[in-house]
Amino acid sequence: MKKLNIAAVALGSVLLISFPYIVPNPYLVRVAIMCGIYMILASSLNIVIGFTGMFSLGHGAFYGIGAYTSALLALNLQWPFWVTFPLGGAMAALFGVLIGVATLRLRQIFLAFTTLGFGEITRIVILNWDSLTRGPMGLPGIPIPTFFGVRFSQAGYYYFILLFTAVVVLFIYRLYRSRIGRAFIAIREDEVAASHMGIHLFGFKTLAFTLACSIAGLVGAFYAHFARFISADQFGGNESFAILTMVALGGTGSILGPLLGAAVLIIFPEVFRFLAQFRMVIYGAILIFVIVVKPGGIVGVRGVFEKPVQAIRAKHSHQKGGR
Amino acid sequence: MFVQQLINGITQGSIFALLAISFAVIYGVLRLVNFATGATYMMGAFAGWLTVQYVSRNIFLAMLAGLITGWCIGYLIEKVAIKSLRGVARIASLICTIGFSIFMMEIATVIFGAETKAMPSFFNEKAFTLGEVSVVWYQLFLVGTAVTILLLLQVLIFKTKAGLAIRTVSLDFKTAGLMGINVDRTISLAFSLGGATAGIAGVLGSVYYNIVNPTMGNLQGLKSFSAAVFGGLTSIPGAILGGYLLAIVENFGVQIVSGGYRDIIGFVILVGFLLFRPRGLLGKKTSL
Amino acid sequence: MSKVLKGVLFLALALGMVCSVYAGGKQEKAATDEPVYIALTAPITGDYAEYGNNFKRSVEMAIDKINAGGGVLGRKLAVLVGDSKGDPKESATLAQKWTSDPRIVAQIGDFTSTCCLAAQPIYDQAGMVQLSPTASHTKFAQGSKWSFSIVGTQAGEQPFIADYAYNKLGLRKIAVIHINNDWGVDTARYFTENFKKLGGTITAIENYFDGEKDFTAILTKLRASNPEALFMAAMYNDGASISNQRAKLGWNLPVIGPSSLYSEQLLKLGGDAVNNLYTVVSFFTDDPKPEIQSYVTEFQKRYGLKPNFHASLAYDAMMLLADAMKRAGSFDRDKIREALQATKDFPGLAGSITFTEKGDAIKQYTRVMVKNNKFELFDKR
Repeated sequence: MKKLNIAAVALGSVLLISFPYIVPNPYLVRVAIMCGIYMILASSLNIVIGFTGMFSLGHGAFYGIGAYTSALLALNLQWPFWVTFPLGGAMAALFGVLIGVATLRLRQIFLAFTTLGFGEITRIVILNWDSLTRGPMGLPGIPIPTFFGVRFSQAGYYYFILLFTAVVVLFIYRLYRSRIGRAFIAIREDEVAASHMGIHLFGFKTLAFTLACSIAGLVGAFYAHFARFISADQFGGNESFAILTMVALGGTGSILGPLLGAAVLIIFPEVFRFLAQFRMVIYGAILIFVIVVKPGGIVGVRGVFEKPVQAIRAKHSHQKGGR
Repeated sequence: MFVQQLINGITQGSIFALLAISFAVIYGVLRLVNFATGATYMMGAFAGWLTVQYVSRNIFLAMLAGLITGWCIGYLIEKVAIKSLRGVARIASLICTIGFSIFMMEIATVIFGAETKAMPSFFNEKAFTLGEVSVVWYQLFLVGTAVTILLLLQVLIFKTKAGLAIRTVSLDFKTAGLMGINVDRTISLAFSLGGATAGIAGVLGSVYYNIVNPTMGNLQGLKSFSAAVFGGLTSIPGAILGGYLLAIVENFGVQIVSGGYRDIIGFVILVGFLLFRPRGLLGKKTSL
Repeated sequence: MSKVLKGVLFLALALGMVCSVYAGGKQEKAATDEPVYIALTAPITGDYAEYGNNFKRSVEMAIDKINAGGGVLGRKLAVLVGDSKGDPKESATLAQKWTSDPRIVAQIGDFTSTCCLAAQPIYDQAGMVQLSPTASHTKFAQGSKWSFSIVGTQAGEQPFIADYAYNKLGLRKIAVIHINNDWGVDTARYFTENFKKLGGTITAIENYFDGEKDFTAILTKLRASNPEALFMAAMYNDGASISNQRAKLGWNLPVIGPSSLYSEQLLKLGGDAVNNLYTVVSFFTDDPKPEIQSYVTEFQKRYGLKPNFHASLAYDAMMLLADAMKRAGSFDRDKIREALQATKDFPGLAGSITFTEKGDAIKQYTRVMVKNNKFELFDKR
């Protein structure tokens, strides 16, 4: 069995690594890169929603903060990508901590509302802060990153995001099995019990939230240098809802779920382009259908590859209705 | 000018208040934010438009059409998505309402086309003019109708048996079930009521702004949601107050600051309230 | 661990399958009896669907007309339509899709400048013409040698409108309301600059965000600045809404605005409230020129509505592209670009088109006004 696994992994890795050469079609490679970007975004949001059981409706804002930070530093100060990339993540983390400290002492639902409001505020501030962000004109001409003096080709972007996705997934996998991850899950399952076990609720919640935000910021920084043009409307409420949908559709609380959700929701609309104006109607219908049939997401409950992980239970929030 | 902005705010606030109630009724019983509210508003507007266009140019008939459409949509959402998902993760229901929102918006585009339609005006004559301040009859009608609907809902919720059931379920639906209340029917009723108010709001709003299009509900829905939080998500009088206050504050905000920051005002209030007074203006302390 | 790794394998396989299906369908080589493909990127769904569908209608009509006349260089044309939803990411993905498809020779689109700018690096790198009917962002056409816009930038249109307002209408004090996107900001800025240069005063400037339906607060504020007229940098739908609400406030004054206001929709939605509105056009449905009349009649016959400015631009874009292919004598992407760049006085429906060095079109404008709920030529009076 073990040998089979290793073989499978080897085959999978070879396929993924040689992808740009097996399929030398820039369009498909781009779709793959977009998949990678959203896989990371969805996985990071899953730390908040799936592991810790909190709601965030403003993930797109942190993604945008990362993108704008990195792009502005690169454009105004000509700093190289390898410096601006981590700074994008750091800036998003900073905002994450601020939001977290302010709201995580309250009941869960407030994080959802605050992040929703924060997302809109971020978008509007970007639009109005002309002198820095060039407002609605957006930021064109973001430089292409270089790797030892060589500018990224499309394959370069692909390998970067492939590696990045692998690192994030591995990180989340390790986190999930670690003491910290177990604390997150304990909080999700029962806050009161968790706190009696000596888990510092506020601290761990803030940690989970900040972690998710910083990862989103990093992807944002990557996206800015990949797309080379960013504008505020690319990081609005729709983006946050799209990421949330990926997590919910794929399966909350599992590692594979968000990856699958992101892949499905990126590839599906591409495959069904021929449906023209019916494409989005069917998108909405399928979304409802999948959730009604499999409320925990495709692999969330009774997962194919993982031990079933119960999603945030309704009873959980109802029983603690009065505080 | 001060008076004019106040009047603008009150008119706009009537629409916000109706939508905020739609959020509050549903949030009250299920602790669920119905993100399809904006789309229901839009569908109500289309129903009204169809009535005016093809049946009779009568605003009351249009409002009835909006009400019925909204009621049916609310009922349908509950039957299809919410009922089967009760007791499962709340995120599933939330995503479902987002799915409904996308679905309705796109189906409206397919059926009616993306072009903005003109909604005829009613009672568009000047009611009175005071210096530079002018008010048309429709504004009075809009505010009057909104207040009537709000009062009717208040009576329904506080004076009838069905209302008692809704209030009980919103306190604790397990206990309510044990007390012999038909929880399923109550939740369904709340959804239909929420849909109906959104539907009527759609007709009233589209007549005021004279336009109907598939995307008209998006921003309206989001802003009214902040209004609902502002007033206290679980309290109906709170939602009403929140709707009016948000609109008035927004209008004065434009006057004092700038139009560019208009949408931020609502959200700053939203975040501010969540941070400093999470139960809203009139929300009950224990119920969130 | 193995479960995660199995997941990786699964994903790789899924991706591989999607690709092989895609690649399999693409094997056949383009034969000479195959049509020549043009790509159209437009918002068919979403917030801008109205404009995107007009693009689609016009381009399809233009292609039918070209094919009825024997096609280009003996080959028929065909269009592949991609829905960008008005989302810059989708627009860029479509750009990648078009440029990697060897059958496609050039692209028309997108509608918004943000979408065009997001897709620009891809067309630039791959070397394919990106001909936008409507992108007026000053950074767009100059951003790449492959990018062209035929709408004319606001830098070209606004001096004309400012002159219209100051010299023809005799206005001295104007308040400005504009949509807060790249187009609205540019429009308002160029108008303001030029109007001030002529000696006029801008009493107040206010903006609103896309999707806003309530303009009463902004209008009340602008009214307090006591202008003689209102400048409205808005699309026709918002323009009608603003006018309706202005009328409700009992505020009557002349309104001026850019060519984007020119649409039957403005009259339909605005009713009496849009009378006394002044704008400029480079395409006018009542223009007696036979080619314009035949376009308007056919558009109406096919789709049951009158074409507007944006629709005519998309038609021009397609016709211009066909003309460039003819002049190039080839379907080579590079040759098409060269021919397009060399365009001089191409007779479009929306005025003749000549490209500047940067790829922007220089347009001519005609003054019009709304009177008795109809667009009329201003100078005819």
